[in-house]
Amino acid sequence: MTIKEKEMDLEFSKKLAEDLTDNFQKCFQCGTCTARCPAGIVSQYRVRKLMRMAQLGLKDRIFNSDEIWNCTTCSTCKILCPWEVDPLSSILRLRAEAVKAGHENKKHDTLVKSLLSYDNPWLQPRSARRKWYKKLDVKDVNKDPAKVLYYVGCTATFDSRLWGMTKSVINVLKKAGVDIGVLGKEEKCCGGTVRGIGHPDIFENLAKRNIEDVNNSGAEIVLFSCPGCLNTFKNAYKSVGEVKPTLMHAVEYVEQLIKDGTLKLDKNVDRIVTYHDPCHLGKHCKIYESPREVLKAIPGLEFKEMKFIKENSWCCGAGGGAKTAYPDRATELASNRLEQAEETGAKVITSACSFCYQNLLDGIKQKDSKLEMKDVMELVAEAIEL
Amino acid sequence: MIGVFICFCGNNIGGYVHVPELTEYFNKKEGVIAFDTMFLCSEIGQNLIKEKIEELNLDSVVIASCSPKHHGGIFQACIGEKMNQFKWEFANIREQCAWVTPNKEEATEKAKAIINGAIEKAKLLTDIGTTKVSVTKDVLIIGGGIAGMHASLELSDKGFHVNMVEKKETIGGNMVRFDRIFPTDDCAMCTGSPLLADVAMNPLIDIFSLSEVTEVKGRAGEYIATVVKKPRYVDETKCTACGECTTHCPVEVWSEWDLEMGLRAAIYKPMAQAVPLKNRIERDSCIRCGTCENVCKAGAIMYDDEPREFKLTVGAIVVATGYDLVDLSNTEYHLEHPNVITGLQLERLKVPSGPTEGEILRPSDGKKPKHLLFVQCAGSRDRRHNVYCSKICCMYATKNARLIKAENPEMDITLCYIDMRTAGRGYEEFFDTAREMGIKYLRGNVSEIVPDGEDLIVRVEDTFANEPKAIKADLVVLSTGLIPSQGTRDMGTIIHLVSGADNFLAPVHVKIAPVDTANKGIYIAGTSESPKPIQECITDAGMVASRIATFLKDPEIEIELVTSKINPEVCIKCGTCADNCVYDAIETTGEFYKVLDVSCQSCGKCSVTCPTGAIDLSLYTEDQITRQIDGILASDRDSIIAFSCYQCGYNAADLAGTAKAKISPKIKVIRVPCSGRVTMQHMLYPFYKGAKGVFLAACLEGQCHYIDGNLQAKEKVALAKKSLDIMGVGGHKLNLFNMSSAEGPKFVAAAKRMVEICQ
Ligand SMILES: Cc1cc2nc3c(=O)[nH]c(=O)nc-3n(C[C@H](O)[C@H](O)[C@H](O)COP(=O)(O)OP(=O)(O)OC[C@H]3O[C@@H](n4cnc5c(N)ncnc54)[C@H](O)[C@@H]3O)c2cc1C
Ligand code: SF4
Ligand code: SF4
Ligand code: SF4
Ligand code: SF4
Repeated sequence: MTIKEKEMDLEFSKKLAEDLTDNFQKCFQCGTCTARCPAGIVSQYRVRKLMRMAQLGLKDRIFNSDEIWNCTTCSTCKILCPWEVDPLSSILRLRAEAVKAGHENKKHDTLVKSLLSYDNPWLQPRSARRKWYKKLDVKDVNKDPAKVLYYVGCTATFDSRLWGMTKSVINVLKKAGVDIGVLGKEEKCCGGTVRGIGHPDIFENLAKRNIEDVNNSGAEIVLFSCPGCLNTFKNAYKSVGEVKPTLMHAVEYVEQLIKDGTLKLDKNVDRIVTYHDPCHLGKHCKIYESPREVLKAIPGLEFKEMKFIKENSWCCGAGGGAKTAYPDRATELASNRLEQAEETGAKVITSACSFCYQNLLDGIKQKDSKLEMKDVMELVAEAIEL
Repeated sequence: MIGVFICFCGNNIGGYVHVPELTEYFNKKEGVIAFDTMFLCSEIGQNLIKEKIEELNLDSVVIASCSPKHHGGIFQACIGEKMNQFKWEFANIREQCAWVTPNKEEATEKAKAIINGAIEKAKLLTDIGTTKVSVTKDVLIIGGGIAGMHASLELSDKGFHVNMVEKKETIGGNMVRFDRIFPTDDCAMCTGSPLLADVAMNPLIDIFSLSEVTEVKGRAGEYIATVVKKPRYVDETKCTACGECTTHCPVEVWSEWDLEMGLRAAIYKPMAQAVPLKNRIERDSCIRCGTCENVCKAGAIMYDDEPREFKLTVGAIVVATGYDLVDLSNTEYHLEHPNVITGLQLERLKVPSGPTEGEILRPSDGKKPKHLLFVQCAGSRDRRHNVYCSKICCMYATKNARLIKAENPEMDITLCYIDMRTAGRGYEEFFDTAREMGIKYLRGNVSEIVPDGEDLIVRVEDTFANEPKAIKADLVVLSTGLIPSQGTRDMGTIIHLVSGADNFLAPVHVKIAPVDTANKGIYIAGTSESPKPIQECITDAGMVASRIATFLKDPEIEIELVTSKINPEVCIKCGTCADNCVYDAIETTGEFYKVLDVSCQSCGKCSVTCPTGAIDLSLYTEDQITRQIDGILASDRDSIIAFSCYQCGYNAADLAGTAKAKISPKIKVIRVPCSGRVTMQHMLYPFYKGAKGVFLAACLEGQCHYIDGNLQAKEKVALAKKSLDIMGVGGHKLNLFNMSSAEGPKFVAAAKRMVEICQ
């Protein structure tokens, strides 16, 4: 197919690049990103080609193809690019432009509508946020402030398969004597997903309300078990306002509690375990060691590393709205990652992310894998006498 | 009467500045007469200057044109025909005004201020004489690679005596370690051996191997270099290189010469053609068993050999210290895997006299690889390593791919690249035949090399086919990029050569003086200047030889007395200046303190330290600089004065102009020889006169051309900042920025920062 002169809108690409540092204009088309882009493994999507189309201002082609919706926002491209281009931020900008021009991805419609009505993407009533801790004694910080506010995140809140993880967070921290509470039905989506799929306005609205919530909660620390939310609070909110409390992932906090002796792990967990780095915890927030330190502190646990870890780890395939738009592709990527986990001889695959949990679980099912999925916090809970 | 000559420079100045308006403006100024012309550097322009000097009996001249780094010499010679050659001042209205100020009105106003500053300085100019000093005809060449060897032969042919100082145990450099050489594919030793032999036999060339220059003092025409020769533990006068010792030595360690692709004994010579052809004991691996001493019939073993230090007096110096490969160990390239090797290691495998006798055998199991893969741009064009293109790796990889394919047609050879850079005579043709031979050129940068047992999986996108691939290879060769060698990097501290942002040595002017350095009589050749093929090293070497022959052609050279002078009536003989002068140029023995003209390097640091102001540097006197500030501020009170050292900051400002960067018209550069020349008075005075800010653009720390001028300036700036705080002006409006002469963007950033601070 030839590119016609009139298809090229260089004004569009110039505008697009404005105030975007390290954007697509710098790309010299080496393909380093593309050879390792997870989305390109399971589709015809080529991040390099997208950068080229952006350089040429091929607006309509970009908007009318599914190219931009494949990216899982894993950030591998940014980490690998020898020219220090950040393709991911260009992709997010392109998605926002596409939505603005009326080319949103139809598969995201329900998610967006749900968010606007219920402050969560899963069409759930607000009151359903309390379901998972019905049988637990958990403080509601709106009534009774706590030192640590556990921000649960929508995915873990509404998917009962993840409640083992959320309950473990509460149980473990309580065991360590930490004063912990939740926002209950007042919790709102962090906005990470809508930001990722091209709705900066909805994101901003959520961000403002969330910043207000946590700043007024009186908590010193906001704790996350979902790195998607953590990354959104930590990095994306910067442009909206200042978050006052310290932001931490549960594994970081627990690492501290173990190291300073507050939390004692005394039960043997005789399992062979490997760990999958969630992209948003690792590549985005640069937290690689904490989950490993925690796992290694569990007595009896045999820890095995996969071949591709930390900066080099492969994405599970779920992020950036890709799982909603292309569930099969996401599961296929999860299966690939599970294969790498199986190679280590581990019986359990752990992670520290709600999305990875869901997606790897789907992968295990589809692949009929013998691996068991566990969050790091669940294994910690196994190692303490409750 | 002062004559102001303004150049249009075609459109280069005329397109950005209203030149006729300037001429009209300065013609109205008392005591000034102004002229403009299309090209002042042309014969017509020069004749105009000469005519007017004579006709109007001008006292001094102002040249408003391009940077003095370009045609300063031409104008000096032209003016020198009619009056003293130093009775002129320039106004750089091209690089530092026209090219950095997009608005024509603003550029014209800025040019007025610059010229006005120059006029005020020109009023105080005095005659400066010259003197003749003797020169030594000997030359020192540091580094015995192809560039150094070729320069030494050229120079000895011209009758000069050459001292060649080489760090390694043999001369020859990198080239003599190769198998064949592009673009002709002739064997490296067929070219190298005769050269090595010529250098070895030449009565006019003395070779000091295992030696390094540790210090250089003196002046152009008479440099004194201190050389340290490391012990060889073998008497060079006795060893016959029979090799008996090597055969019997019980030690076997990895050979550095073979880049750890082969073994050597503790006593060895790196190659059969080594120069000098002598064995050497490498002390760290030697176990002192005494075997070699027993078997050596010549009695050459000297276990108690010691380092020797000596001095060489030379008229000129050539720096040809070459390159190294960028170190990619412990990176994503997995160089720790036995079957990932560098291009240079591949050369050692290919050499018939090398560790595998020319067979391509993979290190892990000694088997011939079936799938050979070249990774281009390894460590080059990569902001995490080096930004620049190493220029020769596309060619050297293609060379080896072709040679291997010709001998092993069944071998699958892939070369992954971003762009094939094969510019040069015969190079494109060379590349073309490589494709015809069936070498697979895959356009895509390797994103990952994953060890898979003894093999490797290489992930790369075929960007033409739009396909991400995972290719299995059993030997991966990294076309590793070039960096300046340690020796090249050391030249910054040992002889104060300036280097660019890429750390390669910087010539005085990349285009028009590519082998000259800012230090008169010191030249650079070969890859110490930048990555380049052998052919260009040889071109450099020839040019260096010619430059030196010109420089040393007479028994004496004329030196300009732009030196410091002491006024005996004001001098209190405290000795501060003498203590401070790193060149020992101040004589304190006679009745009066005196500056030794031939030793003075004209940095002006002394005049900053003198408590009574008795010592002052000609051409940059205290008053001349002050009047220049007056002139600028009289024209534009809101200026920010940028004292720029002529070695680095001034050049960086010029480069910003060449790149057509945008710089606020408020920034006005005043040239100083060294940032250490700027006194506290110069830093504070502009503020009295209403200036908005002051900054110094100095060399990078550790790279001051005059050793410590920028460090002294740093102290002075700190003090002056305090005074400004006390005065209520605010010390933040005075700053020092360090930059190399190649860092135009740093000057732009400094200027921008100052404008923000001083608003
Ligand atoms: C793998 C590979 C293959 C190549 N193939 C080709 C080819 O086929 N054709 C081609 O044209 N070019 C080729 N090149 C480029 C070629 O190697 C260079 O152009 C050339 O060798 C540079 O010569 P040089 O004299 O500048 O530096 P070098 O060869 O590096 O020599 C510098 C010398 O200075 C010495 N030295 C360093 N520091 C000091 C010090 N402080 N004191 C004293 N001595 C010191 C060193 O020991 C060395 O002997 C290739 C390069 C590589 C990496
Ligand atoms: S962020 Fe990940 S999925 Fe998206 S383009 Fe980059 S590498 Fe591909
Ligand atoms: S790695 Fe960087 S330069 Fe290369 S194609 Fe991707 S974005 Fe472009
Ligand atoms: S004394 Fe040293 S160099 Fe000589 S034979 Fe023994 S080990 Fe080798
Ligand atoms: S010469 Fe070729 S391989 Fe070397 S850095 Fe330049 S483009 Fe890359």
